[in-house]
Amino acid sequence: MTSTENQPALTCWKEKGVAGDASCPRLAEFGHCRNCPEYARAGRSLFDRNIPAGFQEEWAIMLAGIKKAESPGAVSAVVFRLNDEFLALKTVAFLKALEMRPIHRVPFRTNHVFRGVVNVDGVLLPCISAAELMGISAADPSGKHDGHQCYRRLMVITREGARFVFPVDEVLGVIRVLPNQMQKPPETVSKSLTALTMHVFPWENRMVGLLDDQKLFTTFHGSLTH
Amino acid sequence: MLLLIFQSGEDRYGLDASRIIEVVPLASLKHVPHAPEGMAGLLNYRGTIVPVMDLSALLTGTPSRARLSTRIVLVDVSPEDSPAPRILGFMAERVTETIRYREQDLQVSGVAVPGAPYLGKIMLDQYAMVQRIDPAAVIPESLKATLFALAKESNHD
Repeated sequence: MTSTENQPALTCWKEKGVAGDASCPRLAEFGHCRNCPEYARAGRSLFDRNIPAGFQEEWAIMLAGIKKAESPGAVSAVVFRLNDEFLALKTVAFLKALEMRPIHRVPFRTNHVFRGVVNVDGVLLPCISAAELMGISAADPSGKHDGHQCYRRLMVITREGARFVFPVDEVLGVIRVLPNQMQKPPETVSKSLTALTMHVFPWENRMVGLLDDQKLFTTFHGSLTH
Repeated sequence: MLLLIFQSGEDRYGLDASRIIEVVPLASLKHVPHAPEGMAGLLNYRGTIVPVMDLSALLTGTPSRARLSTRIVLVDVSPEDSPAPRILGFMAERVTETIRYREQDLQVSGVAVPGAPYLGKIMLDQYAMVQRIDPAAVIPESLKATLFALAKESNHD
């Protein structure tokens, strides 16, 4: 590789960083080499490689063509699973997915819907059982689904300053849903689920319900005042 | 505001991101015989012929090296009130980073180089100085008219 002609190869994390003897004085500041600007610089220097044969010609052809416009109205949604139900929530309302952590009971308050409070970055957020609200039964506690191991997560969601946490059996990722994929939710699904589902769309051979984030938050708020 | 950083020689420069249309990899260009200094060639950009200036050649006199980090930045250089975009490509080395800046972070360089009106104000970041380049001033008005006239004619064919 001819990447670093003028400067010695940057591999300090192997010598004095986390993969070496950890003697780097800046390690305390950054905690891990991946947070250090030197590491980022070394990563960027990978782009200083020579261009492979045919690359420029290929790009000349690609750039000559019309750029495919992104379909208007596409919605970005995070897909998750509650037992056998595959659901999705618009990414704008999604803050993050956390590994399972203790849900602290609140005496005389905790019930089957309001599960307690969870510490998220030093802030206590109410934890709601979305499965209970939508009438979805609890998943197999072994964590297995379709024969593969899944990891339960806590989804942190936000809207208009309000934040909630709810446990899910699996987070499957963020996808884009095109407007023509959206269908009306079928009448056959449980009533409370239909009430919160805006649309359904096909994804990997199954139907996913896109939740109405406004209604979800209203329901979550309501469950706190019971 | 966002500044797209590139490198020329040992120094870092930046292009304001607000008028950048797209950053594309180094595609092969059509060379123009007797092209003005600093012009790398012509690019067929989505059906429009776009002149590409080599910023390395302009700033240091050595053409950009063919690397994966050498990219072409497509900038709209039309005057603010013009309805149709006028696209110019800028080839530059090490286009791998952007930084956020505020207008008040910039300082005047104190040196006005005759013949290089595109050299703008300078900001300091943690590594070194970054000089902002005004893409609209890279080619002189007279040459701009010629270049875009040429491009326009060929687009009508």
